Amino acid sequence: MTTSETSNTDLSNPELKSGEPWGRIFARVTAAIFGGYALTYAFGTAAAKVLPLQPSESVFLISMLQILVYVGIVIWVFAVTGKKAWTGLLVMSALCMAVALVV
Amino acid sequence: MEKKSFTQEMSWLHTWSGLIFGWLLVPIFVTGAICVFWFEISVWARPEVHAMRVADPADLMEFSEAYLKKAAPDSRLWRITFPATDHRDPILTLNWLEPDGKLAKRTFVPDGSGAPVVTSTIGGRFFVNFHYALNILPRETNPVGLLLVGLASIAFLVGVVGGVVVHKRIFKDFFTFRPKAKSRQRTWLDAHNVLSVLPLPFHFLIVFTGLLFFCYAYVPSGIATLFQGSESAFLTSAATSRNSEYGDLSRTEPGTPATGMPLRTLYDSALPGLAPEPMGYIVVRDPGRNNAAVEFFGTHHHGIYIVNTPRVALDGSSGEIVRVMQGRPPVGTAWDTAAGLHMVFFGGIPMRVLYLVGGMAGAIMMATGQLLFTIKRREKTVSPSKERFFTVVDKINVATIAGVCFACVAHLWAIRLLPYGMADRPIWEVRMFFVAWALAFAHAALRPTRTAWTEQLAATAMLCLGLPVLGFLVPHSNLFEMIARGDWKTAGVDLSSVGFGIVLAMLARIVSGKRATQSLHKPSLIPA
Repeated sequence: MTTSETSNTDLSNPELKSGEPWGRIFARVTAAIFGGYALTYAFGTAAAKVLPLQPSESVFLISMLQILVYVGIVIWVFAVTGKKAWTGLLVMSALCMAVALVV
Repeated sequence: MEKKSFTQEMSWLHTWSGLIFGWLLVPIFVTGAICVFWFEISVWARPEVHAMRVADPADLMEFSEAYLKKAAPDSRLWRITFPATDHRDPILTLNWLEPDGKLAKRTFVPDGSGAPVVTSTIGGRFFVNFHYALNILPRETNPVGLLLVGLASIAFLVGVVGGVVVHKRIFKDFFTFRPKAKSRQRTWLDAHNVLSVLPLPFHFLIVFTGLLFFCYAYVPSGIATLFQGSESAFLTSAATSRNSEYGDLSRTEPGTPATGMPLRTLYDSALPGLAPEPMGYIVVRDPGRNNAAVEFFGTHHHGIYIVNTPRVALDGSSGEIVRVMQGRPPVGTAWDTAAGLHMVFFGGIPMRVLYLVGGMAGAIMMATGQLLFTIKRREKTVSPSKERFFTVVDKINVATIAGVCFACVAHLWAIRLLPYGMADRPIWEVRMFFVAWALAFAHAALRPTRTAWTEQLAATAMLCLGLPVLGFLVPHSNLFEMIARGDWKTAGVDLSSVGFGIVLAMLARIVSGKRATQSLHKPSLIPA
């Protein structure tokens, strides 16, 4: 991407995306919001089992981390292609649940 | 689909989530900025406590004990909340537990006369309720508001990260402001960039700490795993006192009647343990029984901690100190620090003014982003269907940016103007906010965009400028008398309103395009 004299910053380019089917956008937003929530929840459950803190301390720490985790997941979902996002969310959630069940 | 670069993905996300969630976030930021001063607004709303002398805690304690002994001798729990020492919250509040488990509440003026606070008002509390849960309360039964605000806050953090990625030249952009630029879009873009970059750390802090406030409730995985899903069990455990150390009231029996030591005597032995804080409130468990327990809590009204205030517990009959607590374990303390950074009880008025300005800058930053959305796209326009979409976006922008300001001042007008004896007065004060906001939406829908902007900004400006005038209709609220008394905190509400009114009136004039006649070739900032 070249930066010409007049374009200050390359803010969104909607025309690029306007041709994109709404279905794909919907799938991605769903993955980010609900898939991201599920993975965040699974992460928290696993962390609750693993952390060697007193319960209330654990809950505070997990809850604070979850916010950063959720933000990270949303960005990641939009950074990769749709299929990869869903696969990644599923694999990671399964991994977290496995940890939660085993520990 | 052709693979797009990370920058392009982030810019798409920044634009669209900014537009959609901005409609929620601008009102949240506006009300959030105002509620930095919610105690001051609460005082402003209650004429009978203006500039009232605050009596000595010992005298208030005697009055409270006598009152509670008469009103609730058999209650299992009393709570006495003292007026804040810096007069931020000059109200004496007495609570007691009724046999049916409800908490009774009486409020008194702070001069020790025992006169009740009579004004029934929501005070500044509505701004708090709206900015964290869109006033959809209680969140325990209906968490929709809390979750929507949470999602919008996550979107904000994503937008900040995405925005930084989009602005590869973030540092250079910061020094770029071209108000005389030929293109309207560039002026708004520069404003958006300057307002984003300079307060960026503050905005990140305020949204992140805001999320931390109820972090355990948004994704309750920790509570589900470690506390069997009981939020109250978690909160009790986190507070590490009250219920746990004296036994949960529901599980213990009250002891036999006993005289016990007067609170004043206990206070003298508790005071050294509270240092450096003055006393904030007292909790008495099983008062008038041989198992009475009295706990003194330090105030949270000027330090950074909200929960981690020092506390001293004494045996109510022997007067012995049972336990002294200062602070909590590290993660709980970290959480409390975050909450304290969000609540800004520390640092006094100057710090709160900084937060107010920072919050308003955030609202304006997002508002400029909202405006950019259509301005940028219109200049290339396009199909009739897109044009219709842009018109709808413009109208929602008017109502969520100018309209919400209008609703906020209308709410303050309602607080001043509704009859004091009215039943359900606080509920009507809140209703007036939503009535005014609905009017703003209807107005925006009916009027051409630029006219709607001008008229709503002008109407808000007029309400702001008129607010102090209403004080002359209400006892003790005459602006000049407040200034003469030196009651700057209460007068400050009126004076700030005038300040906002002047700024909004200037904005309305700029937007109306009347100024554009001075430089004919320069396009007006808002499209017709």
